[in-house]
Amino acid sequence: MDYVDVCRNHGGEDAMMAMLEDGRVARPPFAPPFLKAGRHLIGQTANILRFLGEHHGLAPGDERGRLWTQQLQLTIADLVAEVHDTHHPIASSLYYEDQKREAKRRAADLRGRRLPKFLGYFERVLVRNSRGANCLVAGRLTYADLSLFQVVAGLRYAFPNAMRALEAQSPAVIRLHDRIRERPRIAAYLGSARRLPFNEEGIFRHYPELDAGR
Amino acid sequence: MRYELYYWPGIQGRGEFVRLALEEAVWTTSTCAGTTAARTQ
Repeated sequence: MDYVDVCRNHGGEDAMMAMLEDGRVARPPFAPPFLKAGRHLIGQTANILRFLGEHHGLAPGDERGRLWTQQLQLTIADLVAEVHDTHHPIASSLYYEDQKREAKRRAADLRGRRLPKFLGYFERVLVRNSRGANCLVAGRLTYADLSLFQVVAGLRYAFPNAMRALEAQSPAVIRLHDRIRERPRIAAYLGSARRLPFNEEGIFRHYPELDAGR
Repeated sequence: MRYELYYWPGIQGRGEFVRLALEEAVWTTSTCAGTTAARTQ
C-alpha cells in the first residue's frame, strides 16, 4: 500500500485538470484535493481524512469517537478558511495586492479574536480529554491530531509574532504539535523533499504587514 | 493498491492535511504515545 502525489510528476497537473473536467464522472469533486482510491473518487479534505482514518487506523472504531474526530476536523477546516480569508478577505479571484487594506483589518481580527478562540478551544479539548492531553480523541492518534500539528506549523510561519504571544496560552496544543513533529514517519517526511516549504501561494502566507508587531 | 492524491503542485495548501495522514498511516498503524506498531498490509 502506498500513494503517489500525482501533480509532483510530469504531466500530473494536466491529468488533474482532465479529471476535474471529465464529463463522464458521475460524482465529480468540486476542487482539489481529491483522492483516487480504487473505484472511489473522494473530494473535500475532511472527507478524504475520514476515509483514510477509518481504513488506516487514524480514527476510533466506535461511531461516537468517529463523529467527534470529524467534528474536530471540520472545526480545523473552519479555522483554515479564516486564515485563507486574511489574505483574500474580499474575493479569492482577486490578487492579494488588490485587497491589502481589507486584509490588514481581517488579519488583525484573526490575531486578536479568532485565533485565541480557536486555539483556546483545542486547548480545552485536550485538557478535558479523560484519557490525557496527549491527543485530541481518547488515547489514540487520529487525523485530527495531524491536522492540528499542521495548523500550528502554518500559523507559526504566517504570524510568528502573534503566535509567540498566543502559544503561552495553549501549552497543550503546542506540546501536541511537538510530539507529532517527532513521530518517526512524520519527522522523516518533514525532512524529505516531499514536504514543500511554506510559501506565499498557499493558505498560510507570511506577509509581515498582516502579523502583529514585534 | 496505490492511492492517487490530486492537488496543486508547489504548495502545501489543503492537500497537506491529506499528505500528513498518508505519510503517517498508509504505511503503519499507530498509537498516540508510542511509535509504530505494525504495517497495515
